[in-house]
Amino acid sequence: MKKEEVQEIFLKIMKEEEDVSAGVAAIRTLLLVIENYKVTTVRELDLNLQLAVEAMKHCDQPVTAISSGCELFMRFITFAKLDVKSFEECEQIMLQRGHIFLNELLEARGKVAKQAMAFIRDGCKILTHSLSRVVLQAMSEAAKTNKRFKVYVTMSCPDNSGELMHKQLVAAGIDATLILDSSVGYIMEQVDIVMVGAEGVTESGGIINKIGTYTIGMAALELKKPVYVLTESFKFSRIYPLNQKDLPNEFKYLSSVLKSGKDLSKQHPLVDYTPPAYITLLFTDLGILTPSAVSDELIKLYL
Amino acid sequence: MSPSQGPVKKLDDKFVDKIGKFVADIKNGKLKGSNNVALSMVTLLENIISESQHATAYELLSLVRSAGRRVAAALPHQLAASNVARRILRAIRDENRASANQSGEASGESLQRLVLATSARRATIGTTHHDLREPLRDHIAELRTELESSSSTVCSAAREHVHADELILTYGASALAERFLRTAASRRYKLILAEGTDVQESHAMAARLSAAGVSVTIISSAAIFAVMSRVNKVVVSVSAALGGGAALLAGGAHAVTQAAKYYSVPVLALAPLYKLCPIHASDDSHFNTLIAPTTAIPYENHEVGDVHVYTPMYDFAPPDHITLFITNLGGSSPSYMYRMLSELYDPNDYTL
Repeated sequence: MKKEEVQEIFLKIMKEEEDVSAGVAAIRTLLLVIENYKVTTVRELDLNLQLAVEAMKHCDQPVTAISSGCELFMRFITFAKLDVKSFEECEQIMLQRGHIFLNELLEARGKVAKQAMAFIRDGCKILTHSLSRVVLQAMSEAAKTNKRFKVYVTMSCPDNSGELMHKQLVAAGIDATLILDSSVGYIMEQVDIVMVGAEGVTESGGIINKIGTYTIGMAALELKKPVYVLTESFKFSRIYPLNQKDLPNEFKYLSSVLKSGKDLSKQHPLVDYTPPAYITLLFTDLGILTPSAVSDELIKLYL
Repeated sequence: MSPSQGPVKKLDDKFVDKIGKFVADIKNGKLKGSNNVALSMVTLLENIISESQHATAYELLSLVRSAGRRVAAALPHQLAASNVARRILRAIRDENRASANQSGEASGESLQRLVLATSARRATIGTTHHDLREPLRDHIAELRTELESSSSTVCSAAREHVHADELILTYGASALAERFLRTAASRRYKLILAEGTDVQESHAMAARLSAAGVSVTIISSAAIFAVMSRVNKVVVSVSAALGGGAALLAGGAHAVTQAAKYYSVPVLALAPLYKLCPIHASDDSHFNTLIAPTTAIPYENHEVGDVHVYTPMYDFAPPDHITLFITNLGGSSPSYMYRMLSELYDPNDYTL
C-alpha cells in the first residue's frame, strides 16, 4: 500500500463530494483501505490503517476532524477484532459493522440539525462563523418550517470561507449578511444567539474551530449571549488543551507549512481553542449536552 | 415503531372524564403544591393503566403518553405532572425490556453504541405481548414512595449545608424551603427572609420559623442587594430544574441569584427530582405564565383600575447563578443535571 494512493482516495472524496466533512471522508477512506488492500493478519491490518491515517494527515487539509474521526474508527476496529476467531471472519464483520457505523455518522448531521431547530426562534438574529455544514443544514431546515430569522456570517479570513456560507444561506432563502471578522464586537449587541460548528471537540467540552471562534466566544460572554455549538459526535477527541499553545501544531498549520520549515510564529494559525466556559450548550447526535457531558461520553467509550 | 411517531391515541371517554376532573381540581385550587399534583398524577395514571383493556407495552405507552399530553396541554405550567408521566413511560419501557429479555441500557444514544455499531439490536416496542400491569404496579408504588419522601429526603441534607452562626437568605414563602430551614434550626443560624410577591405568605412563614426557634429578619425585596454582601448562603426552592442546569424560580428570585453571583455567595437550589424537566431554556419567556396580580395590588384598590399589572409566575435562573442543586439523590452541580435526566427519563419521552 502506498501513501500516495491513500491520499488520492481521500482527496477524491473530499473534492467530489462537497457536502462531506473531513472526518467522514477519512473514515470512508479507511474502510476502502480494509476493502481493497488484502491482508492476512490483524497486525498487518493495523499497520496498514495506521499508515493510512498518517498519510491523510499529510494531505494539506485541516487535520482536527481527520484525527478524531480516525481515532474513533481505530477504537471501533479494536472492539470488532476481539470477538471472532478467524481473520477472514473478522474482516467481514469489520466491513459490515463499518458500514453501519458510517451510516450512523451520515445520519448524525440531520439529528443535530433537528436538536437545534427549537433554538432558532421566529424573528431571532443569529451570528455564525465561517462555513459549517451542520449549521447550514440546521438553518435551512428551520427556514423550511417558515421561521423567519436573520443570520450574520463572518467573512472568516484567511480563506474567506464565510463567503461560501453566505452564498449557500442566501440560496436557502435565508436573510443573511456577510460581516467583517473585525466587526464581531460591533454586531454582538444586535444578535440573540451565536451558533457555530466545530472541527473538533476536546475532552474538556471546549471546541477547536476556525480561527476567530474564541474571539466570538469572548465577545458573546461579555454581552451574555448564548453560544451554541453544533457538532457531530465523531468529532469528540481525547485531547485536553489548557491554552492555545497546547494545541498540536499539526492542527494549527497545514502540513505543507510545517514541512517547509518556516518560522511558525510568523505564520497564521488556522484554528483556535475555545474553552468550555464560553460554550452554553453543544447540540450533538447524542442529544443536547452541556460541555461537561463530553468527557462523560468519552470516558464511557475509552474506559 | 415508537408511539412517539405514531398518531395520537384517542382516549376512552371515561379516561377523558378522569383527566378532566384532575385538571379541574388543580384549576379550582383544590389541589395545591407540586408534590400533591405529582402524587395525584401518579394515582390518575395508575387508574388509567389498571382500567385499560390492553396491557401490552405499546398500548400502555400510547395511553400514558396521550394522557400526559392532555394534562400538559391543559396545565402547561404544572411541569411536575408531565414529569410523572415521563417517569411512568420510562418504567413501562424498562419492564418491556426486562420481559423481552432485551439487555442493555435505555435506547439513548452514546458514542459507545455508535462505535459498537449495534443499531440493529435496539430495543423495540411491541415485540412482546406480556401483561405488564403486574410488574408496573411495583414501579408505581416505588415512584409514589419516592414522591412522598422526596421533600423529607431533601430536607435531611439541611444540617450538612447550614452551619452555626451562618447568615442564610431565602426568598418568599415556599413549603419546601420552610421545611428545609426548620430542619436546620438546631444549627442556631440566622435567617434573612426577603419578602416574595406574596407578602402575607412570607410573613406567615417567618412567624412559623421564628416559633420553631430560628432567628428571622424580614427585609423587603428591594433590600436584597444591600444585605447580600453579608450573607453566607442563599437557599431557594425551585419551581422546575431544567436539563441544562438552569432553573425556574419564583417570580422575582432572579434578583436574588443575580446579587448572590455578584457577591459570590453560594446559591443552594432545593430541587426534588420530580421537578426535573427535560426541557432546555431556548427562551425563558416560553415557560412563563402571568398570574392574577392580587399579590401586587389588591383588588380593593379601585383607583388602579386603568393600570396594567403584570405578575409573572416564574423567574429564570441561568446555570451559572446556581451553585448546587439539592435533590433527593444528594447534591448535584448544575452541569451534572443532564446526567440525572438520562437516569430518570427515556430520551424518546422528552417530548410527550
